[in-house]
Amino acid sequence: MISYFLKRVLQAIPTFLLVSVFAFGVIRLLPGDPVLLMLGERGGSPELVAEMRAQLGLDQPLPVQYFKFLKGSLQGNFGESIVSNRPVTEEFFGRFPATAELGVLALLFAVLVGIPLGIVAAMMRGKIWDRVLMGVSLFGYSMPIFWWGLLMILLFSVHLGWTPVSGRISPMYDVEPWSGFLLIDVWVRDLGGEGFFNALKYLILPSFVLGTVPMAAIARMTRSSLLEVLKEDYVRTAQAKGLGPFQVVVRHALSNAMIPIVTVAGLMLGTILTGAVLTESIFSWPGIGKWLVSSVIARDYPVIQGGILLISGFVISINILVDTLYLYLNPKMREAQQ
Amino acid sequence: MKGVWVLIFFAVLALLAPLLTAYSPDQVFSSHALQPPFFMSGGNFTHWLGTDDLGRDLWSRIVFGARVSMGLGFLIVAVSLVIGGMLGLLAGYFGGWVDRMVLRFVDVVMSLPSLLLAMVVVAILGPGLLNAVWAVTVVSLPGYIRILRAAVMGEKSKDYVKATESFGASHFYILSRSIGPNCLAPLIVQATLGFSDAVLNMAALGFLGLGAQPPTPEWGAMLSDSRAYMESAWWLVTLPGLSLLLVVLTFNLVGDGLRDRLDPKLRGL
Repeated sequence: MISYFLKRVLQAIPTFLLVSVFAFGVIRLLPGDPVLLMLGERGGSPELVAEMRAQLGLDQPLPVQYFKFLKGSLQGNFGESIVSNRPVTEEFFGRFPATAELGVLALLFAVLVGIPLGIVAAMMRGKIWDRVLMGVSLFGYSMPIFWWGLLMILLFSVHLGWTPVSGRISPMYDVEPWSGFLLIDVWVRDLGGEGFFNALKYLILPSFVLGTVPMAAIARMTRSSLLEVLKEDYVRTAQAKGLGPFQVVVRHALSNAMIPIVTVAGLMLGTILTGAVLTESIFSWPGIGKWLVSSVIARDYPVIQGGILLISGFVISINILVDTLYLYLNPKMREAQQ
Repeated sequence: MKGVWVLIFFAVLALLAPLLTAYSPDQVFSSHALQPPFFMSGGNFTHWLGTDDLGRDLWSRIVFGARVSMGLGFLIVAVSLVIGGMLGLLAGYFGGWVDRMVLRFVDVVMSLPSLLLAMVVVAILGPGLLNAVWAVTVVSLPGYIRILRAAVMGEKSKDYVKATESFGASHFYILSRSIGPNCLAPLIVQATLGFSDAVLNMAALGFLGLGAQPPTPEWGAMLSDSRAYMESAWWLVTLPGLSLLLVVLTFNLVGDGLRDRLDPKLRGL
């Protein structure tokens, strides 16, 4: 398993280098002078333009520029944001926990609701509940989540007034970050139950919205994978022993049906990151997604370049980890590898 | 097949848009701004679905929005089908370094989540409808490449291909006459499901302000504008989104149905 892991890491290096060439190219593929584009309406004196060009390293030959860029990137130095003048890395990691907290909760919701729904549908195959549940999950799967978010705000925040419209926690609470996960930090900072429920109230609607598409995908996968397994002989044996349908499914069938479900859950990383961009924009959630959207609009190229590298590095690493874990969970694959 | 009728309905809306609407989607009736749909008090049949904040007819904007979304959806699918299909065909058939290069490209594209990559492409090209089309096309390529590559690799070693090779057929002949037609089924399914992805991604870029620019009647951009009137004009929030959901839903439904018919092995996945 370790050799598989190392092999995957080695294979990822050329991909990452190509991504870095792409990120490097972003600023140089621009039609027109990137410095003037970035300064935009803010304008600038010739000295400022020259200084910025030097700061971005645009006054040197291309290969030199690239190696400087690559070296900087590997050391975690992606330059400074043009908008805030703060290092891109600092801005990224300052916002990352907000996105992670939202994403983790959304995935948790997707798994905890999606798998039981899929089990129920599979056990009632062809009956009315199966049809209703699969109909609902097809809706969920096709949902434009930015619209879904607006509808939820319209219902729960505007009409019912149950949840706040935007932000992470009431401005009443001044939580100094410790882990960056507010649900944890309120305990660390002694704001206890009250602060926890306040933060949860802000978190619940965005994570439900973000979790909707993965939840539907997981429910569909659980149903079809379980139906596949329920045809097997050992399931018939379990039934013949006189076990009830619940025991057959949960104790015997589910463990084998889990493999494709885990795969789908792993594939949901991209869905969640894409969804986070939209969800964060709707709920003014101060995470990576909203930051990147505003950086694209402001043409803050150092942020875009750094964002590409950090996010693709994150996605590649998670994929390697999930695949290795998968190998660990699935003995058949493990033998095939050896 | 389920869903085909809804699809035909939206296709008719898109094709016959000028005949089905009394006003242009950009025409402003400022004295009728934010008029509700006909069944609410204050509503009437001159603007039966109501009007937006500038007094533009919502029905006209939704119908012309169908034209934008579906037209661009077809464009994106067509372009990615040709480029992605070609790359997948070549990678699967020739293998070796061609395959490795194509797969590297796929790896790079897939290392960024689709909407994020589309945003980066927009950041290079600048916001706008046509640039967003390119962005969404780039993002959708891996799907077509992978499907066709796998299909070609499956067919390549079969006897009928060997037979064709044995009488000296050219690569072009083999690809276009024997392997190609046998790989169409998965490609058709991919194109149908890819259509809903394309429509969704375009709308998402429009919503973020990176795709369609005002006054283009695009569903995503319309939803983004509606946010300021969430409390006073629910019809601006609900109706464009509902149209979007229906289009995406029916394409997914039709895609699932096609997959079941064309490839029974994948049924229910």
